[in-house]
Amino acid sequence: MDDRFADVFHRRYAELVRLAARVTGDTEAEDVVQEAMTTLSTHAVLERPDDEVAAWLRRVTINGAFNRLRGRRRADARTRRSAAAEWPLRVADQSGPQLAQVVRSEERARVRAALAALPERQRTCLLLRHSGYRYAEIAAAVGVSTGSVGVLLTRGERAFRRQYEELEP
Amino acid sequence: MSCPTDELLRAHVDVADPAVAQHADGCTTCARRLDAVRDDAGFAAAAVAGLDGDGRADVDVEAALQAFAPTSEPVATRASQLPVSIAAGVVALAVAVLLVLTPTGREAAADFLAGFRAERFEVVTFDPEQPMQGLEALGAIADVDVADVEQRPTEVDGLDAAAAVAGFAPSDVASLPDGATLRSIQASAPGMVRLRFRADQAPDLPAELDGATLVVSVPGAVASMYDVDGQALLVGEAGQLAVEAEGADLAAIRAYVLSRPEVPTGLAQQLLAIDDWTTTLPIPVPVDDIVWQDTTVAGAPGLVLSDPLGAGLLWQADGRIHAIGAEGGLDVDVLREIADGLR
Repeated sequence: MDDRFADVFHRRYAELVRLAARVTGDTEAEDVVQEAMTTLSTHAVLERPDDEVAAWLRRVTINGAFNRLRGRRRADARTRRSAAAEWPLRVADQSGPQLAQVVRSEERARVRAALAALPERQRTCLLLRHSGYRYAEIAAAVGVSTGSVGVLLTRGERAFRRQYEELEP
Repeated sequence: MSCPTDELLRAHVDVADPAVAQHADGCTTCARRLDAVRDDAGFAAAAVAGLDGDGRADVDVEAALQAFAPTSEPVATRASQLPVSIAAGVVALAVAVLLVLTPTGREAAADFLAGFRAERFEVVTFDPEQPMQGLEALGAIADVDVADVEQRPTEVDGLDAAAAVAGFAPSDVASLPDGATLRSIQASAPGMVRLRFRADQAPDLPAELDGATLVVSVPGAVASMYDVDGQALLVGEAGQLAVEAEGADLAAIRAYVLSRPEVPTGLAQQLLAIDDWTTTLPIPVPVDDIVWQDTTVAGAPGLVLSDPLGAGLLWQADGRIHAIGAEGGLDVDVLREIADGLR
C-alpha cells in the first residue's frame, strides 16, 4: 500500500465517515467512504497537496452519499409511499421512547430528502458549513471562490427550508 | 455603506461585521433581509445537527484500511475494482465487460451461448439470489481451454497502444462531460475459448456430442475509464463475439447445454425462446434490479439500462459492441451525447 494513501486514509477516514453518515445514516456511511478511498487510491489528485486532497475527498464523499441516498429513495419509493400512508397509524401505535424514535427517524429522512432536492453546490455548501467547515474549505470542496460560498449558502438555506416545509408529513 | 449583498449578510451571521450591523440598524429593508438570512441559517443548522442522531460510535480506521492492504491473491481487474455501485450501474457491460473483460465471464459466455454471430441484443433476466455459480459449474462437463485468452486486461498508455492489443482501432471519444479526466485505458486481446464435451464427464451427454467442441471467439476490447467529479464513467468497445462448433451441430449443443440442470429453468426458457438465436446476443440482467428498454444509440439499435445507482448504454455499430456506463450523477442524455461523439 502506498504510504501517501495510508497517510491520507488515517487523517481523513473518520471525518469523512461522519460527513457521509449525515447523508446516508450510519449503515452505509463507511461504504461510501470506502468507495471514495478506492477511487482516490488510483487518482492523480493523491499526489496533490493535502488541502486539495481533502477538498476532493469531501466533494466525492458527499456526492457519493447523495447518490446512494437517491438510489435508496428510488428503490424504496413504493415502500416509502406505503409508509407515508401508514404514518398516522404507526405513530398511533407507538408511545414514549418508541414514538420519539419514530419521529426522529422520520425527521432525519425529511431533512435528507430536502437536502437531496437542492442543487449540488448549494447542498454541499450547506452540509459542510453546518458540519463545522470553514469558508475556505467549503470553497475548495465546491470549486468556487471563497466569496461565492456566502451566496450559495444563502440560496441553499432558503431553498432547503422551502423544500423541507413542502415535505410536511 | 450601501446595502450589503446576500454574501455579506450571510457572512455576518457567522462572523459579526460591524459595518453590516451598523447598516442594518439604519435600514429597515436590510434589517428584514438579515433576519430572514439568520432564520434560514439557524433552521438549516438545527436540521443538519439533528442528523447526528444516528449516533455513530467509534470508527475503526485501521480495520477499514486493511481492506486496501495487498494480498497474495491475484489483483482484480480494474473493472472489478470499480465501486460496487458501478458494477450495478454499468450492467450495459454485462456482455461487453462481463463477457470480454473478465475470464469468468468469458467462460460463462461460452457455457451458455450456443452459437452465433451477434447482430442484436435481447435481455434475459435472472434471479440475482441465484447468480451464475450454476452456470460456471457447466465447466465441469467439458474440458475448458482458456489458455489463449488473457486473464486480465492490460493498462495501456493511449488508444494507439490499445489498438495494438485489441486488434482494432478504438473510437475516439470526442464529447465528454465538463471536468472529465481520463484515469486509465484498459485493453484486452482477442482470443479463443474451447469447450470440448466428453461423455466421461457428463454421463447424459448425447452420443453425437461426445468429443464435440464449442469454439468461442472472444473479441478484443478497450475500456477507457474517466473520472467526473469523483464518479466513474466507462466508455467501452469490443469486437464481435462469435461461436462455432466442431464435430457437432451448433443447435444440438445449444439444446443440450440449455437442458442442463445448472442452467436455471427461467433463463433456459428465455434463451430457447429467442428465435434468431444465431444472431442474438443475450444480455443477462438481474430481475427487478435493473430497468431496461430498447432504444436507438448513435443511430443504431441498442439498449438503455439503469438502476438506482447508475445507467448504461449498449449498442452495436459497424461490427463493434459499444458500451457506456456511469455512476448515478450522469444521466442517460449525457451518455447519449458521448455516444454521438464517438468517431
